[in-house]
Amino acid sequence: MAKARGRKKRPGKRKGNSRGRWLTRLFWLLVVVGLLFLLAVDAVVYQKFTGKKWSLPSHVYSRTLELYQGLSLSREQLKWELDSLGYKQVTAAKAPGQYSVSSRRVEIFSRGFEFWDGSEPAKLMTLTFAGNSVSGLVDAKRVEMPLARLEPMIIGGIYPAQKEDRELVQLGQLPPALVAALVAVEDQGFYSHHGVSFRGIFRAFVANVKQGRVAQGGSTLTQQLVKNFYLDQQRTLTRKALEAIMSVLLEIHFSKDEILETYFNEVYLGQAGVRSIHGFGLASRHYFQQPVEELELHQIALLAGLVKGASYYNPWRHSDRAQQRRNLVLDVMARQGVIDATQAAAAKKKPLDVVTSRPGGGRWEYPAYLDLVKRQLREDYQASDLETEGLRIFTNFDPQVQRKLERRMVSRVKNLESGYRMTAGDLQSAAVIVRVGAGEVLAIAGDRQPGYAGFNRALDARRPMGSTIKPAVYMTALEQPSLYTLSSQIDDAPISVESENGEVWQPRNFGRESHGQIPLYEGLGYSYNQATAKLGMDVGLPAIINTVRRLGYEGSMRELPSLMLGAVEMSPLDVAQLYHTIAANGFYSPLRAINSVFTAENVPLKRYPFAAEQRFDPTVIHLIHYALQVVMREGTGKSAYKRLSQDLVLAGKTGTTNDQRDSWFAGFSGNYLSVVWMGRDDNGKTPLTGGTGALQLWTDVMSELDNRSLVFNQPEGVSYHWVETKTGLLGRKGCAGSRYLPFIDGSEPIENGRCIPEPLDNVVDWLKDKLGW
Amino acid sequence: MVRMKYPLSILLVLLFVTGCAPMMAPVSGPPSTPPAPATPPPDDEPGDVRDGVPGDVIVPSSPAPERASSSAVAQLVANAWEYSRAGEYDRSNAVVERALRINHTEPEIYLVMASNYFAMAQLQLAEQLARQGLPLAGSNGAVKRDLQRLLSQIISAK
Repeated sequence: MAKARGRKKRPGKRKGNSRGRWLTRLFWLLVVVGLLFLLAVDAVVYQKFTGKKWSLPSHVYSRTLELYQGLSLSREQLKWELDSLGYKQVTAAKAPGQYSVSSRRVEIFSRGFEFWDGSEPAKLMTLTFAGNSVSGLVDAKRVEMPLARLEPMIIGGIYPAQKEDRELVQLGQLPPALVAALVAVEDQGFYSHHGVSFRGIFRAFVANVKQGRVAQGGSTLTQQLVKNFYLDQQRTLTRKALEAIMSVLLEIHFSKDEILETYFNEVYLGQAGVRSIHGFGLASRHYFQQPVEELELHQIALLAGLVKGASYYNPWRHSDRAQQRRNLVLDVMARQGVIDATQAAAAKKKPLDVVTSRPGGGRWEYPAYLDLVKRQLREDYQASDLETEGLRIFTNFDPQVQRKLERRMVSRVKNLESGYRMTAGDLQSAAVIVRVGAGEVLAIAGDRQPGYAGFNRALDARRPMGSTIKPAVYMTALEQPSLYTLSSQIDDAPISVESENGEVWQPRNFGRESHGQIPLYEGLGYSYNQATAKLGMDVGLPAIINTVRRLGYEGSMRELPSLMLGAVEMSPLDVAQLYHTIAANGFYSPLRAINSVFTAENVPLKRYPFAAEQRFDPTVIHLIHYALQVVMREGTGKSAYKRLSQDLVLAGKTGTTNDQRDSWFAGFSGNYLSVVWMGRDDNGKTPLTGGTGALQLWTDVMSELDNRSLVFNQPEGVSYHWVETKTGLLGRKGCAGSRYLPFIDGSEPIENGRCIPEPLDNVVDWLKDKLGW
Repeated sequence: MVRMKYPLSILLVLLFVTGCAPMMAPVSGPPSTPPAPATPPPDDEPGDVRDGVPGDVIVPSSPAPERASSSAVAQLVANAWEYSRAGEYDRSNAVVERALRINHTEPEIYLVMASNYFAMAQLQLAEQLARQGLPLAGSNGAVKRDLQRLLSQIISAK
């Protein structure tokens, strides 16, 4: 009651005091809230700027091109490589990233690069050519160099869902003219304001009022960075206020250089398909295919001009606009004293100089290979790390080999379709090319159409492998030299095998003919199904499956008799793994797409070294190499020699499945292994056999590669003997039907055939002759 | 009587025939006369057959001539040995793998790698690499000896 009375007695004064108190409290409350808000904003500004600023996609690189005397590389191929790397052709190479060409020479000023085994400094070198190979390599002082290498090219990336791509650069890397151009065009008072420029806002306000539209922005570079880096794209007063506060806070905490460097990496500068190009580092490669350090003035001006609107000034779509904008930037630079009028005038005369093919259609075109890279990376890295940690992934991808494969595949598939009157577009193909010995996957085609990013047949199309499995059957037999040799007689006659479920399997030869007793090597060379089935049943399915496993296949296999003729389904990559073990002298090496991985900061992270494991004895490999050469010289693969040199030693095997639904060829020289598949996606019939389809493309591709002969050295434990092929008994040189065959020591025939006359017969014949009987 | 009349001649004939017959079957060297071609139609490829190529073209390789790339390989191998001696085994392997890419039939490449893995106590891999290099060593006596010695060391260390 007393309180109530009191209030009633002095209402005006009390009311005034109370309001004042509340206002004071409210004021302090607002101050506290404001401070807390500022603190919170400050924390956000500070933490994001000092922490990991961006999610960086990983970038994938090709192999390094090693240059040395004797390298099979034409002047044109080298020029293509240099152009793809963004080297500029000039009259005389004077700086990194330049090259010059004369009739027999190419002079290159290489860029420096950090490799796993050390850094390669930028250097001037001259290569001379003789025909299609490098005949000399000298340095700037004309001193012979044993070898040099070019940096690898970027062939793709691994992106997060939003596909924001950038290549980080440091301020020190940037050409001073670029920094000056940006400041001159976007924020002349950058080095004097504290995040917000009232003068700039006023100037923009006046300009906009004069023109009656929003023609100029008053945002500083710091504000632009805050808008892009911390805020969304809303244009409200609240957001503008927050932007100003954050800009000031940013300037309090960080130096101008730190802010500028972040701006240079943050700003949006273009689009490549679904990929957005951020930062000047990547933009430089995107528009000019050059590192930012090498940009010339006219290129610098274009990039600086694009900041205002990369889409509006897109140099490919709106070249006139882009050129006007570039020239305006050059004028501003001249006005600001960054360059002189002569430099500006000279730069204005230059073309835009952007790469001819727009990125997205030009460089990121190897999805099938990238698919393999990603799969192999996922064995060691989380998908999120690959998309955000900016890893630099160096692969074994050879763009020159890939280019040849793609070009030949396109023409051969079309040619076969028209030649066999197939419906256009029905025939599909896939191929894998591997470097023999090193086990490096060099090229992959997953579709007849180069650059197709859909179903990757080279990795995912598991199709019956047909007769390409036969070497496994014959190797299983040859591993038992006491029972089987290349001259062992096997019966190529109709055969019936009853499986456990009562089904009867009756394989027939392709030509529906039987050939009776034939030597073992002929069974493989001519790909006789009946003989192979008979041999396979004798050696046993479990042993054959074991051989296939040792060759490197890890997938499932059913123990069915039809497996011996290739009923097992494999992808071209699986088949390449099997044949690589054969090509590499029986040593299994996992096929590798990745060479090494570096962090975004260029710190070596992981290497994928060469490894090998002996799975077969060299003597057995020698014998199977012999039989696979019979395929190429005399059997189902011999048409390859119509277009390849007879001097080249090759080994390989055709494969055709039922109703000719799949056409395969797997074969190798001394340094390249290629596996080709052809067929239809709907598994329909084709008119192609392994020889008329896949082998033709295989030959096309191999004819373009620098093949060396398969090294067919006679290993210890193998000796050669003349043998009668019809009987398997010892024959002799010059005797019809005799053949010179390799045998694992102790397995050679000891009984003489008819070619070798018995001593007594000779005597009798001689006597008959002498005595006239 | 006839038999007794020419015993020496018969003996000489016997010796000649029995002695020469095995000699007529050579144990090495390529044949000079092609064996009769046996070319039944291939079952995998009915439509593309041409006359048989004599089987005598399939003979063991003679030693490969010195390749022009050998100086590059030699340089890389020498660099790899330097890194290996400095204990930088991974770098050494990275260097020698460059040589492997250029010519995988050079046996010293496998010797370097096997030595590095042996030093890194990766005996299994060291053994496999030494075994891979051995058949390639052929006439290269020094490398062959080194590979054999290394292989014995690896096996006794296992």
